[in-house]
Amino acid sequence: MTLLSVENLSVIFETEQGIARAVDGINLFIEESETVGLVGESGCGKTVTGLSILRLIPNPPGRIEGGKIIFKDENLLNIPTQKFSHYRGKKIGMIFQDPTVSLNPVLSIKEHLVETVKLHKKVSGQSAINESVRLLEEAGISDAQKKLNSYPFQLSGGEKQRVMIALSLAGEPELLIADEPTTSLDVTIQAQILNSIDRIQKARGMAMLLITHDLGVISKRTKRSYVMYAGKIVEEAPTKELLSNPNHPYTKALINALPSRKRRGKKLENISGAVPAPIDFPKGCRFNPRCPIAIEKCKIEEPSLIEITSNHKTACHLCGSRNE
Amino acid sequence: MTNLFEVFGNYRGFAESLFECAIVLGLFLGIVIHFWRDRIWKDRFKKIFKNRTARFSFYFLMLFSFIAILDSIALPIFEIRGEKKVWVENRSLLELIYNPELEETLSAPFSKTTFEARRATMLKKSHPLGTNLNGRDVLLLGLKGCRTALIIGGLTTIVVIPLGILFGVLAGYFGKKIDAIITYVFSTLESIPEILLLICLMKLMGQGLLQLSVALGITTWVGLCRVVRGETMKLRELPYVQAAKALGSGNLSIIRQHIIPNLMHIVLIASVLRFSGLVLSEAILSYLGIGVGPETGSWGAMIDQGRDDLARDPVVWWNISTAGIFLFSLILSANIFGDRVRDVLDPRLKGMKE
Repeated sequence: MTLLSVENLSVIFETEQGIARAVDGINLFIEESETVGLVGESGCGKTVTGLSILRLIPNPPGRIEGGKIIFKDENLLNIPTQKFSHYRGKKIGMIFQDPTVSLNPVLSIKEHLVETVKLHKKVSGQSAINESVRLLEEAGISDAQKKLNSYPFQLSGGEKQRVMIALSLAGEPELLIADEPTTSLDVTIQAQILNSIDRIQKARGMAMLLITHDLGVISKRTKRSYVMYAGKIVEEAPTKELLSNPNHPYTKALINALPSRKRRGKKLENISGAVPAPIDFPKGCRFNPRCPIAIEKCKIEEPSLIEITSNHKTACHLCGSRNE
Repeated sequence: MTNLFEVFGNYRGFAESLFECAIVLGLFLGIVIHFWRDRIWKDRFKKIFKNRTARFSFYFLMLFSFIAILDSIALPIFEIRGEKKVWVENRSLLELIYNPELEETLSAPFSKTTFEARRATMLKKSHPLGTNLNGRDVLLLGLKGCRTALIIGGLTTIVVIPLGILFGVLAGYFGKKIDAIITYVFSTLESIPEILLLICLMKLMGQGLLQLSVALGITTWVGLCRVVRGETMKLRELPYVQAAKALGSGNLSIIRQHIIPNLMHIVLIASVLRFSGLVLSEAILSYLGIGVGPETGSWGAMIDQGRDDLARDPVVWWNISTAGIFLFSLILSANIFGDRVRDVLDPRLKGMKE
């Protein structure tokens, strides 16, 4: 059963230079207790997508311009602002990119957790503390009782991220949005944190949207993945299929940019140029200025996301030709 | 029955004098104890006191406060007239410890006679800092001024902090219309000349310690509000506030948990630095004759009285200089201490040479 489906979502930012279309009409869905990846370069609208599901887009300058976000047969965009805080944390939780700035430096871990636990479950005093310890242990913090009294600056980056995970679990959400949860951590800790998230997610049967720029992160942990470029979804496929048999030139280029054993000793490939600024996207296919195989049609007409093989959708004129 | 009422009435003076002092002291003690229990703040306090100048200025402030407390606790004095025990007056502990005689008129320090050259009379007792025109001992007046000065500084701060935080946070956090309204109000308030506004308020409410504190509070909350508003706007955008929102915290709990604790250092810096300004403005207002009133001794009132004495020949200097020195030393130590508090707490100054 579909837990969350995002339909034709557009988010714009009104800046002095013009209107920035950070997210431009994307569709995605997440089944119950499924892990879905959302991949793309920096600045292509992944985080904005994550934030708009929780309606955390700063307004002004940002605004959700159109579309639907349907969570369990309910359009989240129609819920009044006052009531919406009951959805955050309780139904949909979120883990942020940088744990060092996501915790309030003047509050101890205990104050963070107890407050959040009290917010979601009507418990008080000792039972809230016990619940906090349990959550910390679930998030994989050893010596949780002792860590409870420390302040964020006394913890390592990995521990802080674990605290953030514990906080987001407090409301027992059905969907967890993990926005690059390991970007600011070093590689060994990354793996540990991701394994913890994986374990918790399986144990609780939560669904998860894993936002990342690292194809390595999604390869083993997600069932399906979306590739995003310049505010659009350019490819959607089961992760295995996506990595072994990519269709879109952007996805291919991303995979080529990964270091691998096969190409040991060779220079790493890169994608020339940068993601275009969202105020003036190029005409036609947004990837065309950087695309190695672009043809004249790509500069005029924007390709739509079409199913090429079953469950594998791509937005590219050159890939769709097979079906035509 | 009348007798009982009299006794009760006598003690009312005692209670009243203690009341103002108790508000100030209680709140300050509360704040200090609250901060002291917090590990971060404990370290910060230790850092403040590491500096020797700051430590000495703190001792000075403590000495002033001690004198103020002595002056705040009053005991009733009874006299036996015939068979009845009659209440005469309330005397503060300070007056019980140091109780000089009331003379007829001016007298110089350590002089044995009054100041008037033609018909000088013998004094009952010599006074270390002389007496004023009404024959009151100048040292005692100066010491009594401590209480007024500290209560003005303290009470006003207590009026200012809640006003400043409330409106500053409201304006900074919610923005838009609320911000526009609050900014409009305090810009308007700021554009009225301060002294004029103070005179108006004092004429409206009448003279007295409490009234003056409220009046000063109304005119000075704007500065704190401005700072708090700016800082709140900055804090509102920080990732941990966003994270708290994503976890489902409502606006009120975000303000209580994340915004206000992160504002406290700014509030503390602003209050400590403003303290000396408040004491000074009390002196200025008393000099203009709209201060606490003549029955509450204050340094401003002493300077106001002493002004005429400067025209005499030979000059009567002890009156005005005593008040000046007291005022100077309190403000200097408050400023030094305030600077040190800012040095330790203000993150912008971090990393500078200690």
